[in-house]
Amino acid sequence: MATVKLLSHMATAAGTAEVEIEAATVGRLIRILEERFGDEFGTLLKACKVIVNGRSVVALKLKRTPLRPGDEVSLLPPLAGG
Amino acid sequence: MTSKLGGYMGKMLDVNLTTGKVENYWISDDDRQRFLGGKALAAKILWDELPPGVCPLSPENIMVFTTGPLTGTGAPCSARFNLSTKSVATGGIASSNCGGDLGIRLKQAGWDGLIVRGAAKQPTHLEIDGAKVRLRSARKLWGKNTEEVQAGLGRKVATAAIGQAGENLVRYAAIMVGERALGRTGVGAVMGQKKLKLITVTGGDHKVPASDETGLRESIRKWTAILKSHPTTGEQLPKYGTAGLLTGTNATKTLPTENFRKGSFKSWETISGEYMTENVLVKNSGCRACPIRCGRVVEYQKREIKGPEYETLGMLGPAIGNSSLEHVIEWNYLCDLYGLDTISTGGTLACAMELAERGLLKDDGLRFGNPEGISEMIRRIALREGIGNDLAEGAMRLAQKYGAPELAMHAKGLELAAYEPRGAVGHGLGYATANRGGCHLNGGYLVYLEALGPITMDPHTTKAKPELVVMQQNLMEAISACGSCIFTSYPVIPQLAPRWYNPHGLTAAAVDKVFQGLRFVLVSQGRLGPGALPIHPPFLPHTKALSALMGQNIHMGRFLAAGERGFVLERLFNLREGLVSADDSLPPRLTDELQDPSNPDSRVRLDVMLPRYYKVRDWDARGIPSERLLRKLGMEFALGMATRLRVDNSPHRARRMALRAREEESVQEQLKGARTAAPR
Ligand code: SF4
Repeated sequence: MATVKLLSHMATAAGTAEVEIEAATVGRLIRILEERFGDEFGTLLKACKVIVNGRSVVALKLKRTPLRPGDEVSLLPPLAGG
Repeated sequence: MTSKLGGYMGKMLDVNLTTGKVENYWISDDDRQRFLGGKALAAKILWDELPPGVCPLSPENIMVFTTGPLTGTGAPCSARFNLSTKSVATGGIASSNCGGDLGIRLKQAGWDGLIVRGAAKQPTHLEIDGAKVRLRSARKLWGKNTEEVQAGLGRKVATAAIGQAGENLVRYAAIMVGERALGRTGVGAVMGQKKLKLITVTGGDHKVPASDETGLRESIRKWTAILKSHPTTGEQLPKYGTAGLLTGTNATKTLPTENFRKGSFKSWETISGEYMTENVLVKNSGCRACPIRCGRVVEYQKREIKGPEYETLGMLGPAIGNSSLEHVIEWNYLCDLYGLDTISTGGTLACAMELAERGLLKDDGLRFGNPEGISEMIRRIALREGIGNDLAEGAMRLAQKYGAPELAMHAKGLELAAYEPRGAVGHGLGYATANRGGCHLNGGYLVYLEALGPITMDPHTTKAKPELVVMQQNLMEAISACGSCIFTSYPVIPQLAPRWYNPHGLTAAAVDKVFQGLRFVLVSQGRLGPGALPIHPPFLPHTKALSALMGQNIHMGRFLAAGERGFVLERLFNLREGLVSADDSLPPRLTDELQDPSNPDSRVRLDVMLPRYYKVRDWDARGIPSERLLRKLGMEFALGMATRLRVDNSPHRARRMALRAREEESVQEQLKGARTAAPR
């Protein structure tokens, strides 16, 4: 299970600031979030930075970045310094 | 000798507090074109007017207030002005930028700036009313806080005042300009040594002359539209203020926590910009002529007062383990009243807390996360009372005194701003090389490219970081020199529509590679000189506005060259005053210890980046600007000094260190005097 932190207005869009999600990769996690929170959330998600344990996935393996139990994934929208 | 260029009133005011003499100070148009104004031009004036080796806390030190050509023209965010002097924190150059009314009022009164020399015998108020200048007694104001001193003077009077911290020569004393601060580098202590309690500026109805008024108005219109349409300047800063950055710095591990031991804070939510907006924000505020308005007005104990900005939240929040916004608001207000820089206050408190945690400093109250006694400690710092007297010396000297110099998070003696550089290593290089010490803005603010901006690159790679730091430092120096707020540089990094740019997809990886590849382009551009880049790019509207204003083609090449000149001259000033390449450093915690043990790149590799940085700048291995560079920039006047520095070998270096030690002794003498005079 990874802990997903929904930051700034991503929390408003999802109606929660934190969720636990079981996913093997960042790509899979994004798909699960889109399915769970709908299209509008999905559109906002496209502009978000995805940060795994404080590191942007750009410096990791993008959507193929593997997730391990206990990982913390932050979704950082542009207006929150993202 | 006035000026043929638009944008300038043609003369500066030169006041000697020792003799009471008031004169005009003339600048050549040649210098105006080379340095524009602001901190760059102030560096030239200091270079010309201040003999090497002067004690920063002595009547011989001078204060140079400068505006930029855009100040007072109505251009976006152009209320800014600068104060440079010799730094009581670093022994090198001090510069501090402010958006209070003083700059605009100086120009309305007919002055491009103000030089203050000497020292008064008694507390003094310098009153500038148009062309009339008077030195009045400020004995009744001595001992009062900045709010009391500035109260009741009316909206048409711009003020600059020190509080008790400046009077007591605290090494990070600020000068308050209304509610805005000339905060960093201890400029308030220099003013305090001169017994100058208050400056007021009013009178005059001079208009800033423009070469092409219509062209200027048109470029201002377009410029404002650019700022309003960019996500950072059009949405984030107006909505959350700079405090909106905190969510991002926490997520990207660039939020200094518990004296920079960590890069994120578990209780960050209650001091975030979002929390402030939802709970205590009353309205936005801003410097004059600013369409962004990043300032905050918050409710505190049924009063409306200035809210904290990001740096204050970071340094009086996570840096000392505090998660209460209410406390930050209170301490921010207290610092303003006493006239203390909030960044250095937080950095020094954080250092003291770690010293106390290790049992090196005995003071029960100082503990990470314990807000008890902080208000009282701020008072004791400002009055140099008890242990407050040690904290008033700043983190570097405090940690040295208590036997653990490695616990001071500073560069060159100035406490670091609120970004943990192991989460953005280029930003760390900026801190190490910033001329005024550990400053995020003078350092090039690379964290925006590495972690916080709309498009970013790998924050841990060292590739291209030296080149990007150089580019950003020159750019920000130029923006500051022209009288504009540094935040107008944000649109240089565009927001790309999601269909073009996916921050977690392949396009982000491609952008990262482009940034890293830029190093080749940036190096060759740097070698070409001011004639290169004869363009006016839309993301840098400053160049068109300046050209219309000044009646000169200030294209991108010339604009960046002005910034580079300012930066290089400040560097030479530092070298001349005895700073050496070893001062381009950071605490070992940041260079040697990994922030994240699973990430071998999570430390600031200055050993890799600094030599490259010197090369890109065309400085030699000891960080001395080359003759070729000085000729390229038209700075032949500095060739002699640069040559002397270059042939300097170790005995000479030892002499320079001795010079700094003598300076320090002289500072200590002054401090003894200040302590006996401190009110109890
Ligand atoms: S953006 Fe903020 S600091 Fe800059 S000029 Fe506007 S209000 Fe002042």
